[in-house]
Order: sequence, then structure tokens, then C-alpha cells
Amino acid sequence: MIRNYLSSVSLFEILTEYLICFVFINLIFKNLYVSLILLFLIILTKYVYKNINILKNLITSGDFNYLILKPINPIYRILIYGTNPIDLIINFILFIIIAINFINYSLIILSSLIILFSFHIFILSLTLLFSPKFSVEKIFPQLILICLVFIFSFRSLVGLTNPLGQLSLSIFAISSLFLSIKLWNYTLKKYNN
Amino acid sequence: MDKAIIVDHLFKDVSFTLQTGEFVGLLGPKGSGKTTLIKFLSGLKSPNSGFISVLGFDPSERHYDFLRQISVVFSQKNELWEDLSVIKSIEFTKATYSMLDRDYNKNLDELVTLLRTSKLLDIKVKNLSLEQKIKVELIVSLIYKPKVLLLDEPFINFDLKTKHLLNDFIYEYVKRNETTVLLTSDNVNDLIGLVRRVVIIDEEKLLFDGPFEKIK
Repeated sequence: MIRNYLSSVSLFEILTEYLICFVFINLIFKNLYVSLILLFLIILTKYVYKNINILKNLITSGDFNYLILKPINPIYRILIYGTNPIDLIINFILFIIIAINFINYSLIILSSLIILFSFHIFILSLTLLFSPKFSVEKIFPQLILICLVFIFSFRSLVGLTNPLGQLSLSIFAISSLFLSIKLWNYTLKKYNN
Repeated sequence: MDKAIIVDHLFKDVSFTLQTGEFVGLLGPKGSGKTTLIKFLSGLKSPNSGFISVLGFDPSERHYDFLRQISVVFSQKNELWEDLSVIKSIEFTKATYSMLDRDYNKNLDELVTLLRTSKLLDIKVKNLSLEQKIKVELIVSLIYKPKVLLLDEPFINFDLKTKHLLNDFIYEYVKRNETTVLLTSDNVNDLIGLVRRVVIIDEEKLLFDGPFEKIK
């Protein structure tokens, strides 16, 4: 799967795509860091979207049956399948730049990432629950996903600076992670071929 | 002897048990319910009525300890990663089942020798022939020494010679390891010399359960 993706989309094409995206965002927001954060979120969203398709393909091809018969939660395999090395490296570099420049907000950044991850598992759970009868992308097309990610992560990043706000965001992040994992395990148990 | 598999009042009154280490053939025409039964036994589906127990577990719960002890091979499907080499695919299974190095090396040695696949280990899965792939699939399915092996028409696409070769391997492996095996087929010839006992189902009903010789 990863090989197919890499052969069809070259490194040059990916970098060009991100550069255009970055320039475009920068023209709107006229702020380097805001543009970097948004680019980071867009790449993450792409990963979420790709994993939805991977899960759907696994279900329709029947390969998901193999995964649930292994003594390891299939979520790990899906998360690995969707990882694109180029995106991973770019996002890692972006994350380092963001984290260094917003060191005082590290708790918020971490909470935002946990919320995003929980949201990702939540969407995968819905996919597992409804696919192939119903397409989750119909409720969450890529644009809406980016907006939701933006609201969840970026808004909290610039909006919450007081300690109480940070604490409540952290509690929300941990609860959402806990609930999304519970939901995933529940849908997995309900999954009946 | 313990009962490894218990099927009680499933479908339209299908009941049978498999003792630990028993190798049984499940015969039936297409659409008779064989694959569904394998799905029930592996936990992929849960029956609406009847009772199933595999190694003392309810398969539909897909309990961690249950999944560690069973293996399922379906026809025309494989779980190998095309881009990995054969040895990496096997190592991936080793990691999934948290196997100890000592057990892994011993089991790998046994399986590679029995299947004569030592030359395949460094080849990428995508470059293997169909026959080589099923051999690797069998290694991956058996490397962690499952106690119960469910084979759903695994060799349906192969010529007679290859079928014999793979059947010989299964027979030899089961004899050495006391694995409980249920092998489905729609062709009685596939089971000659392989199983002593046969269960026949059709239209979700049990038609026969007894020694292989008595079905002719």
C-alpha cells in the first residue's frame, strides 16, 4: 500500500504541493507560524483521511478479518499502513519548529494533538461501524475535517492561555482519548464480518 | 482427552466435538455452511443460536488468549505483506505473538525444513509463485504453534501434485505437534489419506459424522 502511494506520488510532487499550500496560507494569514501550524494540521488531516480509506479497503477486501484474528489491536496496523515516510519527516520538522517557538504552550500543543488523535480514532470507529453501508466521508469530507481539526487544535492553541483553560483542555484531551479508545474497542467487538 | 472444539445445536441441529489433537475433515457442497462454520469457530461471526466452544473460549468474544492459540487459513486469501521479504513477514508474526527467540528459531527451523523453503527466506513476497506463497502463508500461520488450526479450503487453487505435497506437510505437522485441525473441502478426494474422521454437512444440516472409510 505504501509502495503504491510512493510510486504514484513522487517526492517532488508532494513537496511542490506543500509549498503551494504554504504560500497560499501565508498570503491569507500573513504570519509564518500560523502558516506552519496550518500546514502541519493539513498534513495530519491527510493522514486521517487516508486511514479512513485504508480501513474501508480492508473491510471490503476481507483483509480486516485477518487483522481482528490477531492478538493485537488492528488500530496499530491501520495507523502504520497510513504512514507516509515523506509526510512523517515533513511533519516532524514542522512540529519541532512549532514546539520550539511555542515552548510556553507545550501543554496546549500536546493536548491538541491528543484531541486530534482521539478524533481520528472516533472517525475510524464510525467507519468500522457503518462501512460499507454508509460512507463516513459523506459526513466528514476532507474540508470539514480540516475545519474541525482547525477548531479543535489551532483555536485552542491561540485562545487558551490562562492556567485554568489549559487544565480543562488537558482534561478534555485525556477524556476524549479514553472515550475514543473505548468506542473503537466497542465497535471492534460488535464487528461481525 | 480434552475437547478442543465443541459445536452444539448450530444451524439446523449441527453438533459435533473434536478432541485435542484430532484431525477432522469437514465436507459439504458449496453453500452448505462450511465457511460460515469456520467463521463461527474463529470468532469472525457469532451464531444466532446454538453453542460453540473452542479451547474453552467463546470464539465471538475474540479473547486475547484465544486468538494466541488459533490459526485460520482461508482459500484465495493471504495475509502477507507484498513488499516485505519472507523472513520479515515471519518476523512480523513473531512480534505480533510476542514469541521468544528460542521458540521462534526452533519452530522456524522445523517448518522451513518440512516445507523445503530455506531458499525463499530472502525473497520478497510479491516475487513468489502461488505455490511458494501458500508455503510461506503456512509458515506464518503455524510459527507460533497454534493449538487449533482451521483450514477453509486452503489448497483449492492448486494442481494435484501441489495439493499432495501440501497435504503431506499438514499430515506430518499435525502428527508431530498434536494440533487440532478442522479442514473444509467440497471434494472427498482432497481428504484421502489425510483424515480419519469426516463430518459432512449440507444445507446447514449434519449428514454424517464418522470414520472416513464409511462414507464410500
